[in-house]
Amino acid sequence: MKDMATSLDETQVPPATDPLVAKTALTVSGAVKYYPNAPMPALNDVSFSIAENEFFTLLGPSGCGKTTLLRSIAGFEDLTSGSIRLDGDSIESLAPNQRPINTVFQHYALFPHMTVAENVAYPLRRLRLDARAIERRVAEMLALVKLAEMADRKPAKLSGGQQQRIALARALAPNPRLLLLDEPLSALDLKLRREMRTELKQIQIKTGITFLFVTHDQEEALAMSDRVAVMNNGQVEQIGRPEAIYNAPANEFVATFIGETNALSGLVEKTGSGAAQVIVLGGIALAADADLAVGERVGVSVRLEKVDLRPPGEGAVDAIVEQTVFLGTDTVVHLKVGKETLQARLQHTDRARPVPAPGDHCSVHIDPGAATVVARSNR
Amino acid sequence: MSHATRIDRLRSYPGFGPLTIICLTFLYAPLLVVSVYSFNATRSITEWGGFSFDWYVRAFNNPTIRDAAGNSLFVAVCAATLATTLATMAAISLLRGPPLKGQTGAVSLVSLPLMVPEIITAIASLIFFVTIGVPLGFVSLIAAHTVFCIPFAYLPISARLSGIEATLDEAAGDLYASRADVIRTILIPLMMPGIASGFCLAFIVSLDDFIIANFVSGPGSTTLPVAIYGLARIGFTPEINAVATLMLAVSILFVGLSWFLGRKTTQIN
Repeated sequence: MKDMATSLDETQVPPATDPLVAKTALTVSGAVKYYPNAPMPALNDVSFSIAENEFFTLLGPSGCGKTTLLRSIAGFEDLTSGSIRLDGDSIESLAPNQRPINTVFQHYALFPHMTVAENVAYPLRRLRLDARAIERRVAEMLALVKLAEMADRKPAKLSGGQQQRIALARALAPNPRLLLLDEPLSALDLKLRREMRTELKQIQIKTGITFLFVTHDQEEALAMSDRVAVMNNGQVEQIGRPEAIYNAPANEFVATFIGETNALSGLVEKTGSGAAQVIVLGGIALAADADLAVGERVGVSVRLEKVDLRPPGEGAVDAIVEQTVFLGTDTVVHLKVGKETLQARLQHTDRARPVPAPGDHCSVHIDPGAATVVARSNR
Repeated sequence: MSHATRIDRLRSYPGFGPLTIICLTFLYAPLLVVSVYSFNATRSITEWGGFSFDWYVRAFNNPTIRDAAGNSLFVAVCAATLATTLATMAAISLLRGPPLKGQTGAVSLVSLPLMVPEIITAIASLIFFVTIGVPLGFVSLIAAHTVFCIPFAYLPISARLSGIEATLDEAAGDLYASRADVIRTILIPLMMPGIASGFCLAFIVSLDDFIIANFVSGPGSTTLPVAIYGLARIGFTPEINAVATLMLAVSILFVGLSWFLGRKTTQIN
């Protein structure tokens, strides 16, 4: 299958599963969605597949099409064209209640007139399981989310985090082939969100269910996912493991959306024997792919933590410290290099090395392999 | 808070106090007089002759009134049940169904009986029943009242339904519920306060109706307001006051109940 080959590309296989053995759970190919009266498509030729047991995340800014995609997979929206297959079978013609896919909704959508146990039992009742099996499964699910003692309460009596867990337990109870999570943590406060992140990942591993997670929070995506698909303007910009997305962004959008980066302009200096050299900031040489032409202007992404500050004269170019921003574990230093600006992130691990103050002179070193060429242009 | 300040501002208008008293007097003094004289010991409805429950006892023993009261209750229960059921179905399909051609038209159509003068509805219903050959009696009366009561039931029911998040429907559908399951297990239980409120309103509208009942009820199906009108034409007695006071009490009870249920609705959301 062509689409599977293109999305599960060579270096970016899920670590938890062997790519040769892993079965494909979900395949979306050529998904296009136009809403009536909207000039731009909400989804513009989106293709990817998710392996069984994978924690796959759709990451992108609001309006990028990730929610539309999720709703199409759940069955709440129809695609204009393209196909969605689950375990190889086309599911587009199935109603939401006929798809073995469950959703954890952003605002939980717990049934307020039912107790916690009744909420979790709801899908099992609809599937006409016998009463004993339902009771067993509900107890099992409530134990999984550590809320067994809340079984007889109404959802309104629970905290936001507890409601979130119940929504998760309810969606997992029928043991779906695929679990969709629509920004489930966005309504929680920061501390709880961090806790739930770890717990979600643990639950995913424990249950072995394939997760398709949607978020606009890059930290969430990087922390939990086996693979991430970065979306923008209804298109997938890059699919890969979190490390690959962070360290080797495919383009400028991915580079700036994920983490903080210095977007620099570079000039290709020389090419040959499998590598090219790009000069940035008027004197720092960085390695780049071989297929660039000498004299070409390119966009280069350098992560803040890859910028190394040295005493004046020791680095490749000189710089003046303009401002420092203390952030607890590290400090971000704003630098002026000639007419260009540069940011560096200094971790407070090296106590011998003092953090520079505004007005200080220093020099900048960047490891040649630390940069990624993200855009080719004639600027 | 803003509500309180608004009332304070209203109070500061010149003439607010006297005007309020005049309005309240015109609205409620006649009702008060009727109620007070239902306890009069003499036959007069203008001169007080001491306190007594006699007229209530008489009213209860009057077969015309007793039968009419029974008819009224029967018709009101039937019409309110039918109207509430239809209004619930209409609300679910109009607010939660697939988009319909002429949806706004349908909503106006549901509430049309509120705007059409009642006498027109009454005459039209009479002509309609006579034309299609339905004999005047309980069937014609209940049918006419059902139609007339639908908008009264529809309002609180649809208000309640719009307060229920649509994601709950989606969540239930996602959890293997068919459309019928969603309506039965999610929407109806959550709409219950609205449905009860709608039923109370429909019930009282049917119970109090005179004009339509006067036209389309038959000889055996005379309702209480029609019976009172008949008695009043013969001559006023405190007996009528007693029945009127009881009807007033029932009306206040049901309108209050409907308001209470409606208030609970807004509190939940």
